[in-house]
Amino acid sequence: MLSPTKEVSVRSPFPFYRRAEIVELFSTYLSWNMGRPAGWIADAQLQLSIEHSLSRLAQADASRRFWVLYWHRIWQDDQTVGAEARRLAARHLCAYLQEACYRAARRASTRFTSTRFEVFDLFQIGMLKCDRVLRGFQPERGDSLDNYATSVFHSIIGEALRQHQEADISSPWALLRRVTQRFLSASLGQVPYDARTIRCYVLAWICFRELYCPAPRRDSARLADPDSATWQSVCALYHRESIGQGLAAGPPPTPQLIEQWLRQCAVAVRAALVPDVRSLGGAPGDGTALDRLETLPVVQQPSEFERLIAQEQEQEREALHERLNALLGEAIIQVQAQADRDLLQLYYQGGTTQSEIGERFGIRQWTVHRRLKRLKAQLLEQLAPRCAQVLHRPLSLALLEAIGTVLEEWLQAYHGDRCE
Amino acid sequence: MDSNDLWLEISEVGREAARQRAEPLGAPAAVWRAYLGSLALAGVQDWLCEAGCVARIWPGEAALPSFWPWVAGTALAVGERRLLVVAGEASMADELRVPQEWIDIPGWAADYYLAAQVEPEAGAVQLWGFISHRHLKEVAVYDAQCRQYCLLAGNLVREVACLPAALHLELAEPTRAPLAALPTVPLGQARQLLARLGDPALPMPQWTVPFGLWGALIAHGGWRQKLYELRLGLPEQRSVPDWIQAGVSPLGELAGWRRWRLRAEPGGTRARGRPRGGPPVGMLLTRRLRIAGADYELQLQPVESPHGNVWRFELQAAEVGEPVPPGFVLRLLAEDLQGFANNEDSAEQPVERLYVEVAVDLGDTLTWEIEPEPEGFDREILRLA
Repeated sequence: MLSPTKEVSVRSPFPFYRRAEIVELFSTYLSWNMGRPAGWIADAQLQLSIEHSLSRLAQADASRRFWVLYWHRIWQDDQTVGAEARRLAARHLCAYLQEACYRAARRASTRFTSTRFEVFDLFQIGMLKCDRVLRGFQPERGDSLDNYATSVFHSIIGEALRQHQEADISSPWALLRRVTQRFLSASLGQVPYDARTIRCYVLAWICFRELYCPAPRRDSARLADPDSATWQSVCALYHRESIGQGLAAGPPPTPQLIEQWLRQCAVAVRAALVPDVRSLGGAPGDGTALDRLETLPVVQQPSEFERLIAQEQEQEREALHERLNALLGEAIIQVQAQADRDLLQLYYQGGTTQSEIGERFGIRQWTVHRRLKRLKAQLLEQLAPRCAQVLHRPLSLALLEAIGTVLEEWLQAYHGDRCE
Repeated sequence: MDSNDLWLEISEVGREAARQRAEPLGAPAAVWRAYLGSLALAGVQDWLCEAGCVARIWPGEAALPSFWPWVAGTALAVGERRLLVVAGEASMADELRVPQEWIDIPGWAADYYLAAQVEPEAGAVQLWGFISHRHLKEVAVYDAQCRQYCLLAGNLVREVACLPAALHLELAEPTRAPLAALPTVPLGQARQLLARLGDPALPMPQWTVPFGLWGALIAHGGWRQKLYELRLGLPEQRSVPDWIQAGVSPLGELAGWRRWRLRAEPGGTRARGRPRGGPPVGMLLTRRLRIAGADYELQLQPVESPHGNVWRFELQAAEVGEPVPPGFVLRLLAEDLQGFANNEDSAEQPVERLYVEVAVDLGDTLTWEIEPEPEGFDREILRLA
């Protein structure tokens, strides 16, 4: 077999070369050296695939946005294209999202208060959940994948860091109070239990959660074992509800059984909370199945109409950016207090954590965080009506959100995010 | 501590206040929900205030204890809009679950739903996303077991800094989805339901009746309150004759009712005041209300009448000499909100007072309402005989 990877020369000084060509954008992965990004590794299969697609589609000059939408469409399409094509699309998008994830990981590493992970680990955590970015991305709302992905990766990483803290909670009962139903179901599915068992366990957990609550004064992280009366009432409620849910079969459950189920839930949650992130290093893209590329199902081309729409959205987004940049320039000057301006400057030029800013200003980190948020909300409120006016668009929640995203980017650019 | 999420700190004072608000609720689940809800509320109210939004608890502080035993979430009135703060303790912000009551009861539905994750030990609240009612109805998945609408994190607007603008500014899109009306519950059925569901030994009583029925029951402020009282095992709290004889009950006082002794004035008119030696000729109950930016007083007193047991409800401005403006209506309704003959008085032009007199039989209950609706209005059922 051919060597599946090849190094792409690093064309600019550290941190790393920003990819620009369509081929490299959709076929290369970030390579790491000593926990730092070292360059780009091309995945041969992806490279062939994108070159193939470029030559096959007439719009070889299409923008990166076109290709993002193109692969995203294929990835979403579970009707007409096969699983193989969808996997391929996902890998192309994964390659594309490397920078966004790196940016999020870098920000998280400088801004989360405590972390035992390095940028590389955080990057891996983010990339593992790449599908969440793809699922949530809504191109029809005019979002840019880059912005959206950066913010989602950032939350994913933040959540993972918090989850690692959660896993340290010793009491299984406290742990069970801190999970969402969704996470519990997914954890049980990973064990794996069958669908019916999961439904029973989840129902038992719902009953438990309703009936066994900490008292406000107690330390809920060290929630003690429920007493037998509690187990009995949980069991009785479970029994009543399981009949309504069609889950009752055989003899009624005993309190002991319910307790055992819940202990198993806690074990499953704990296992799901701490996946071994560090063992997942190395370049993604397995490089196998290269020969299958030629037999890939022909994926539907976006129609000319859709392409136009995509272009139009792209233009609109750019228009939004341009107009906003001008408006923001004015708005930022109106932030009167010098202290507020200094705060924005320090924070958005990067590298300074909120607690460091707090020390410098002689205020607490909480206050810094809150003040930053308030300033952002103020700017947003000032800008929104004018943006809607200038863009001739009705002021909608989606527009507010878009302005919020652009604002964040703009603040970083304005204050020179040089520390990347 | 970063990303789009907003972290708020709750001071020890705030935590203590939350404990005090929660502990009287009795049942551990209600206490815990109240505690989380209060912590979230403390953070959100401060933050909104800083952002220039005046947020008032809806329908009012006094009503909160009768919400928390059944549903998580606290509603805030911000100007003309309503914001529901959904407090949860799960540390993973991967889904938001909103109780169906806050979505499908027309009188309860909010404009926006805000996800708040509470860290009770750390004294922190994280706001991690919000969504409009309309969008929620479009994208949420309904969970029939828990009667909740489930949203994936990706469905929410994650930039919480957008919320003050959304509350302040006039958006071009509607925030609420249309809702179907809930069924009407006849009085007899409501009382049966209250008796059954009011048994504190029955866990999660709301799961034992279809949602429509439950929703209709709980949507009625008086019935919601009654259910809460029954589950706590409290004695009758809303008997007006008892209030007159023995003083206003604690919950009556919480609602704002006060009792006054009336004494004869030399001029023949009756004035209110503490007894000063003169023989009391009667008792008066009053409740202060704020309507359309001004203070009013609702008065309730027994009237001597050949027609038996008659009560007089009267609305007048708190400021002596101020009229009740045109458009105001004082209306009495039966407990199940049915009207009856001569049950309302309305002001066509400025009037000194609005009043309705009603003759009652043993066991009769009534509820009152006023147009425009008083601030913090929560329907109450008064037992008049």
